[in-house]
Amino acid sequence: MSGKPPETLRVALISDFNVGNLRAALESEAGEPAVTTAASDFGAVFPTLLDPKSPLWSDRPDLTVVWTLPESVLGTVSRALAGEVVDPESIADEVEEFVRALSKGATHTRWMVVPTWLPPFGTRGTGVTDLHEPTGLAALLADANRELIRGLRQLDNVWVLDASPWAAEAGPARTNRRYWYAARIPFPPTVFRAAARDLKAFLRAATGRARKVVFLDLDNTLWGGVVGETGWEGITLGGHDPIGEAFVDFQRALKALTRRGVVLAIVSKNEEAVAMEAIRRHPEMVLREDDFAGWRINWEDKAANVLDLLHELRLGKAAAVFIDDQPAERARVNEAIPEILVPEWPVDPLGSVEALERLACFDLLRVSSEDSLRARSYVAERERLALRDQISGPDEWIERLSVKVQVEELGPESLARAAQLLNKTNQMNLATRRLSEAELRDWTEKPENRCFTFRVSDRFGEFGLTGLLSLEQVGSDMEIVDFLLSCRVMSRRVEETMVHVAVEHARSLSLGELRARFSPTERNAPMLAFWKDASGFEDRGEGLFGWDLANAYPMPRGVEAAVASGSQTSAVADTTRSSAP
Amino acid sequence: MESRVYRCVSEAIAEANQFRPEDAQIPAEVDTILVGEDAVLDSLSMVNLAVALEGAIEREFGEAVGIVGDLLGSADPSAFRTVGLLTEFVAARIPSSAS
Repeated sequence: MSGKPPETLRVALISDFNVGNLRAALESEAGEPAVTTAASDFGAVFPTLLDPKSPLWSDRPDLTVVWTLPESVLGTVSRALAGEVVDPESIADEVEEFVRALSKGATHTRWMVVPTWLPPFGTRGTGVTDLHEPTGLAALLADANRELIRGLRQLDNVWVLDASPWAAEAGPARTNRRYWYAARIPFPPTVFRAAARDLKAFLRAATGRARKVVFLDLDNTLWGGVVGETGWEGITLGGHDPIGEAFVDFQRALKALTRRGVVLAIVSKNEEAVAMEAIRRHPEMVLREDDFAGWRINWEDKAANVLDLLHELRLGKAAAVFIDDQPAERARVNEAIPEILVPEWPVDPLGSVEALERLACFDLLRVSSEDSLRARSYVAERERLALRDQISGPDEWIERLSVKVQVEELGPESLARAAQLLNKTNQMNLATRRLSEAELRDWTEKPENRCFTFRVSDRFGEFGLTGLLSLEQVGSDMEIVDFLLSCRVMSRRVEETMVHVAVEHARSLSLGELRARFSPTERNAPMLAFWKDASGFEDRGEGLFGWDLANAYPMPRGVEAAVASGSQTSAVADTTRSSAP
Repeated sequence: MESRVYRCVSEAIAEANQFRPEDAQIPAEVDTILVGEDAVLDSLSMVNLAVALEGAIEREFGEAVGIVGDLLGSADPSAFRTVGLLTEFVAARIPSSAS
């Protein structure tokens, strides 16, 4: 599957119960992406998974959800429910058979999600010893879910989702069997709404729609009170105080987000010196200056400050969340920048952590080392910009940055990050092709195709895997299929380094020309600007650019590149140039 | 009594509406046709409405009144064809001892 992501994603549901309410919940759940749903024949779980000609697969679903009742799939559980004596060891074989069927079905869908098994209607099984006794229902389900998780981890496009929080949201209604007797619906509506919320979060994660930056107010958002009135010594934060502890916990939750690649920034109406003193000096602050990628602490319009920071951080509006205790500020930002998520915020700070968790907008399918480095990378960027202000021009700046680029062929160890980059990059993206890990791996394994990844670092720190180049040999020529670069490393001549690698690879095969075809989106104008103004390629119109491979494409000056092959690393550059050819 | 039951019916309709598209919301008007010819409810919405209504009645009157079986199985659907008739149908099943 290739091309731009569709506006509406297709979700297929395979189940042994009535999924009508889940379909309705998914289709009506607010927030991107919009979905349409289709369901397998009632109860036809194994036949659908095992039949490649099932109508459910005919229009390859983006996501397939396989949600089953344990008593339907696992004979041991069914017999245990009937009070029969069972062999708990047989659970593993039954789960293995189910996983085999799931692995077959997973080849027909982009992603598959399998919710964990829940005890039917929250039954108590054999009572207080249900988990302790190996043949208790709770014990059997714990074993079954563990085997399920273990088995599905081996499949690279299948994820297990924990259904127990969905059941918990139903509270006592979980035991209500009326829906079941009336229509073979095993859960009350609350469970399906919670499931729909998580499935939408999954789709946002899978399609690169996760939010990446949180703009935070300070007074009565990160701490209690108004620092401008009380000074940092007077704010409510930590201590033996419920509200103070709640603010500390909220900061901890935000700090944890930064370790998953979410960036924090401050937008506050305050005196900057006073506010920053609190951040630096208050002993209970969890978030310190280096935890923030940037800040605008002034008396200007907050919407304007948010836009200014987004520009500075090179992030799109749709990547942002704005958190502020003041309804008027929320309304202003919401109206001025509708793409930003502006959640209602609890008046009571004791609800802040819960409010943050319920956003479900930061989820990633995998957290890469690049994600965990991101917050630190913005601090390094501030240091880079400070350096730029001290020197004469871009050439000297690039040289003093000591940019290093490590080029590698795509391999299993970099597949997850490469797919993540492919699905998240918008601005510096030639084709905006979206592929799952499996699809990218399969495409790369074709003999005519090659895929290279680029790890970038400079004297201030590591950016990690931030560039991807894929090439397809077409007859005696080479075409650049994907050419994408994280906006964090734009304008450091990594672009020219990637082109150099493409040209040198094509020249090594004695090919005639190298072509790049730009596919426009609403957001990738910076990519077009590079190919038009800086690449040196011939502009052939309608987004097509070409390079005669009789000519070498020199490495840009100031960039040191090396090709890693297994444990070997060798230098790329043998020629340099000071600017685009 | 009937006004309290009507409030429960409205609440149940609101819950059932959560699973319906915005352009197909069920109006909680007394003459809204629920079942039979020209009905606005599909079978799944009727299930959601019936179970939600039973819960709302229990919360309102403090007593469980079994109506799901009647609404979805044994009773003559013409007896609760509209929102108004449904209100009367349910009110008749609430014991006088209920608060």
